Amino acid sequence: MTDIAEAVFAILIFPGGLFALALGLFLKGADRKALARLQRRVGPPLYQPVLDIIKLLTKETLIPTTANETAFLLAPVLGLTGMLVTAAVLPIGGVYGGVPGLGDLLVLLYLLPIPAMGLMLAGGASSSPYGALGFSREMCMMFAYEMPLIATFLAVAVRVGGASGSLLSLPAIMDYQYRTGPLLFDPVMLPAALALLFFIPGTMGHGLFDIPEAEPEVIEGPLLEYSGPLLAMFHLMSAVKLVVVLELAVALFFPNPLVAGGGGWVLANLAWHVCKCLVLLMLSVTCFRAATGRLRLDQGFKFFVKFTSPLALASLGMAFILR
Amino acid sequence: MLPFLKIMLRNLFLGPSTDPFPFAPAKTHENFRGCAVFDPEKCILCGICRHVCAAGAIQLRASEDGSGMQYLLWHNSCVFCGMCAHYCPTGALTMSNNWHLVHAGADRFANCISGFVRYGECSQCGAKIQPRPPVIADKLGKHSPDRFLLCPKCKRQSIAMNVAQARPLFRQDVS
Amino acid sequence: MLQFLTKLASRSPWIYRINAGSCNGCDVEMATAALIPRYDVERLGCKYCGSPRHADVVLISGPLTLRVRDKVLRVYNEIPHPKVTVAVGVCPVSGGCFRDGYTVDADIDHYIPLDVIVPGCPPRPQAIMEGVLKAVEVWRTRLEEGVCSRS
Repeated sequence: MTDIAEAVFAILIFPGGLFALALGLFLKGADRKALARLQRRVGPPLYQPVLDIIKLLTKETLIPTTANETAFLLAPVLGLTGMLVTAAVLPIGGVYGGVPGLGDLLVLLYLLPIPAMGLMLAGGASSSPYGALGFSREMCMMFAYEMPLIATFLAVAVRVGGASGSLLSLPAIMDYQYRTGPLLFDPVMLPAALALLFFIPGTMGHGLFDIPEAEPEVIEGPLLEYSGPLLAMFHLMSAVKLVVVLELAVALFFPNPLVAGGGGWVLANLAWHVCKCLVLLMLSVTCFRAATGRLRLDQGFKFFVKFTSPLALASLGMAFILR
Repeated sequence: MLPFLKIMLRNLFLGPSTDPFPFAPAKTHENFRGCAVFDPEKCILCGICRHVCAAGAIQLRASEDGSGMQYLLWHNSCVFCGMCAHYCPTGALTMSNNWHLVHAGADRFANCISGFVRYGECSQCGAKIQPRPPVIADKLGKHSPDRFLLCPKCKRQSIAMNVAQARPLFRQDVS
Repeated sequence: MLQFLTKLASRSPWIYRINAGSCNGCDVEMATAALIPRYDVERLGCKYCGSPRHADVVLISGPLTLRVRDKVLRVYNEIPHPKVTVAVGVCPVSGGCFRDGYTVDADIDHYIPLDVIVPGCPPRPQAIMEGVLKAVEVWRTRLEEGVCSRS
């Protein structure tokens, strides 16, 4: 009984649900503000994404007559609930241990593509040619950026497992890092860390990889026909996805809290965790968005295949040899 | 990407370069070409502005009682080119530097400047002539000030009397 | 409470531009008003969105030419309520220097109700920002009316 209550609490309040939504919207606002400052503009206030969501709830919902109505309405709901569940499953160093049995890299590998599936379903259900184009682009990019993700997961698992095989459970990976220091400072894992740094803007669709939702090219792609509360759900899904991806990267490479063990230091550990997420956000997303334009679809695909996957595979090879 | 890092760091140190408008008044150069300003005291109703207006924004309508003409310039058709002010001989039409012209959609036909220009009067017979504002009288009327304020008929008579004076047809010593 | 929420909601107007046969002078000024650091319109919460379904404030430029009339009306009808229309430049109202041309079907107000007009050829970026601010005020009153009438 308490398990179910705990699970519901985890999905709805902390660390999924309200906490993930609040953190995600704050991170998005910080990203927009930092981008503006890097471009010598003033930029919107930090809580701007919250205002956007409130505004979207006042618009009317328009559904195209030729669209598949069930899929049209189901896509954002699917994406948002999937992301909330994923956020509830990720452990935070020193604060939250994760759901036992579900904090596994394989489970995450199943849960992470859910928002991309939501976007693809949206694009397909829109019955508009731009939606279909966005759908195919999203699918192509998903194939591309899943490659370095899987290679990084395997590299971390083999490195952590050592001589006794590989460890896929996230709490075990974090325990290893509490004992022997973060994997970020491990020279063998540095190429994998770089690969993950490129994976984050790739999956979020920012900067170089703003391909599925490219505005001048496919006019917002899959989200073209969405308006009002459904669009608000897509934005919330994107915010929670940002939180999930950043928390995953932090958990894989630098989960060490300020004071181990929790207890009275929970709030300090949480603040430290948010700081780490913020710094990673600035490095991976904001700098890319400020400095680069947008790649073509084939260029984006080749970038992931030729540049980031070999990095992650090199890490995997070295970890395998040195175990 | 790497050459841009220098620019990004520089931008962070330099800070925002945003104009404080709308939270502070915007800087307007005094030579800025904003909306037109009409002075009915100086207008001579020549109609050159209406002729050169690029967008047909100027209208001169005769009033019903025949005492003058109504001058209308519609801001929503004016393209702010300044040709009217350039060609106006008396300087009745000038371009100010006012650009705060935003208004609601319902007021779009009320957004015009208008002025009533009264006809002048002939100093001899009292007929209606084009207005003779003082600025024109000083410039053009210097040559023959008495003839300047006459209507065309009286002016013709005055010139005829000057040029063709009455002379006797026969010589005086014929008897 | 609802009034507070509508006040918050009106602080993120999303802008969509429709070029109804314009010469692009006003479009260039609209682009500069949003994107360049000097006249940053994003501090008011605005964002140029790519799809008409996401828009709140519509900026229309250009005299409505005959060729583009049906398409502009079709795109305009795709924008969800509540929306505010801003005519940028003098072309949408009178045709500007294209007045009485054979291809121009001026005074968009016959087809699309105009809420705010920003005269100028092209209007200054600061004038366009003034127009957007006035449009946001109109939008706020419309939101409050809509919310109050529903509740």
